Amino acid sequence: MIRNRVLFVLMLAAFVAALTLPFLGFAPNRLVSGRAISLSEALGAGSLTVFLACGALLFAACFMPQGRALHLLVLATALAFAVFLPLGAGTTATSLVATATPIARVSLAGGFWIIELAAVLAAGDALRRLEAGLALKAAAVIGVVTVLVFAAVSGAFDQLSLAKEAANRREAFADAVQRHGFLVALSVLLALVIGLPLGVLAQRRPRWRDLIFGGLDIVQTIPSIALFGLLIGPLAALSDAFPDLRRIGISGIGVAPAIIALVLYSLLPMARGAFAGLASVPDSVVETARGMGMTGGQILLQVEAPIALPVLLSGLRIVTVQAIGLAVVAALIGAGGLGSFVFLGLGQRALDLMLLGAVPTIFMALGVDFIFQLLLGIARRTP
Amino acid sequence: MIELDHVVKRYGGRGAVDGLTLDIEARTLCTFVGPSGCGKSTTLRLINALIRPDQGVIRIDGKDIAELKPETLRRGIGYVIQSIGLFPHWNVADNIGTVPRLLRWPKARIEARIDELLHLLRLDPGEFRTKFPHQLSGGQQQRVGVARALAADPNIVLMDEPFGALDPPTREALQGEIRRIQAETKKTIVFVTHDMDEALRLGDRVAVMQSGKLVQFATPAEILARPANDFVRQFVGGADMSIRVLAVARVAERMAPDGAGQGQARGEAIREDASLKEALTMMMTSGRDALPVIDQEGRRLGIIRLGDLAHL
Ligand SMILES: Nc1ncnc2c1ncn2[C@@H]1O[C@H](COP(=O)(O)OP(=O)(O)O)[C@@H](O)[C@H]1O
Ligand SMILES: [Mg+2]
Repeated sequence: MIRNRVLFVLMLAAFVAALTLPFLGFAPNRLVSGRAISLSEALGAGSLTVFLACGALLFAACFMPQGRALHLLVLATALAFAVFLPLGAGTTATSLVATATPIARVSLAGGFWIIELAAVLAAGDALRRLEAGLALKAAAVIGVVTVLVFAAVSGAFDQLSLAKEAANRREAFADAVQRHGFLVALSVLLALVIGLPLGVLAQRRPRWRDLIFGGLDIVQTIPSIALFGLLIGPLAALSDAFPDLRRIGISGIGVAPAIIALVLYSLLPMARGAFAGLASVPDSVVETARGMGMTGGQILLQVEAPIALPVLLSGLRIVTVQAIGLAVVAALIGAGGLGSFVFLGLGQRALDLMLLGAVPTIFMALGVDFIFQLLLGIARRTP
Repeated sequence: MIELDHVVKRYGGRGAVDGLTLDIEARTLCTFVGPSGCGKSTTLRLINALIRPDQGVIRIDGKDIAELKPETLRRGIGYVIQSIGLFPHWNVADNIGTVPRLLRWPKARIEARIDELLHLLRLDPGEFRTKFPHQLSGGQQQRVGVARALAADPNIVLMDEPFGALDPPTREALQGEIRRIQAETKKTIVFVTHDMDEALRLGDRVAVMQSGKLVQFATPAEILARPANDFVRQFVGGADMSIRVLAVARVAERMAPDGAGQGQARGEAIREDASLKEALTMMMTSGRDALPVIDQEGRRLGIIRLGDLAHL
């Protein structure tokens, strides 16, 4: 009998991927498509044995009576998987390149990504089943990240094409990460400044509620590319009419329309978060606060805001993660950011270049999500 | 003194409070009683200016409250409601200190006052100061609610069905606390309930309301003895009326002082603030038809006889 379906499905996917998909791709240079290298070929006998043993253990865990000890074992094994798979890939890449010319490229292929993803998801599932507290979650994430960062710094991944791509474009890459962060931070900040009052207004004045949420809902349903496109016309016309605007960087393409679109998308979840947060404050609490002689401002800041904070943070978390993803699309209208690698890679059919944009985006989203989870945990714990 | 002078508050054309006129004497406990929806809560909320009357005037110590800044007025009036409304993100001490902080008392004075109030409500400061509301039982929460309302030592305390959600033993214990605190601190307490028994047991005077109007305003004994109309009679409950009279009337009202030619009674004495029901119970269990009466300090005052219980 299968006692852990989630783990079973993940292991099955990893197993099938390991058997049928290439683990790495090996090409003599950037332009030709390479040779597929399977998992067994990539890892060598020793590592493969360990790999298979761990896989067998996780597989067996699906059928064993579930309990804390088993979940902990699964967690540790899955985390080890998640760490050693990239390390193994890096080591293999180094030895492969040593046998070829320096421009030879070793890229991570489908098999790697699926097994790695399965390992991460299995670890996440184990954490959920353990009903892990903040400390354990933080330890797991920080542990894995520390090892990988340390390995990256000491050159373990240098021969992987993704790292080479990043090294070749070091400055462009750093700029893109910065620009991406800037787009997200500024748009989230603006969304906070505009969205919070809208949420408060919707909660205080029921008459305005439908208008506010109805309007923001419509914005939300416009596809992102269309919205970015829609803004080009009006902004271009504006900057034509008022050349001063162009001098401060506002024009039809570039950062300005990107920020506007990102803010527009962020407003609904932001305002909803503020609204839901305020609505979560019991009426009796506000009634007694008023009855004791607190002013409206004191009630909002000292009573409602702290009680609403967890719900508000959940809204902010959605907004930020969403903005990180949407900012990729902003590259289409010349706003820069990690999306520029994605679209450049798409145009050149260069998978590594695409990944150079996509992978950091995913890490950024996961990292921000993790930080918000920590903040949420703290906000909920101190009532 | 709180004066309500032809006060009207309408919601959607209907008078939730419909021409209410009455004076609540300072340093007494006045209960408002009536069926749900008769306007009791609205009356309380008018007194602390959470809502404004459509007509009429409300005066506290002779001053029209419409002329005061509402926040200032409310900081001088304690307010307790059934759902308590403790701040869930503050611990017990912070909750109790709310109004003193608003009034910018010095920190040391606030801390001392918090301990004093916890003692008054029989909560151990060492144990309860740092607890959060969700860690307290319903009864403990409402004790904190009452302490919070008393924190800045207001002359007036408004209580809106404060014990309505508590189980009967807890409820009775807290009713006892309110009587004791009122006797000790001499606050003007306006206490709203839909439970006639609670109103009669607690009130120095009882205001019976029906559809926003005052039906009767009198002492508990008076209400039991001479209900103003059928509504009050029914509300008081016909059948065991005589037992209720015994439960609300005090020994002090019926006893004869020593030396009034009533003779002497022997054996266990009864206190003057006990109810006639307690006196009757003591007579029946000890087989006597007269009891000595003593005061709170145990000094002998006089005598109460079985026959005294029957007069109204
Ligand atoms: N904010 C309000 N809006 C509309 N009607 C109200 C409001 N507050 C009270 N009422 C109405 O006024 C009447 C008296 O209410 P209330 O004073 O709460 O009664 P009680 O406390 O005696 O149960 C009820 O009919 C109630 O529906
Ligand atoms: Mg009410």
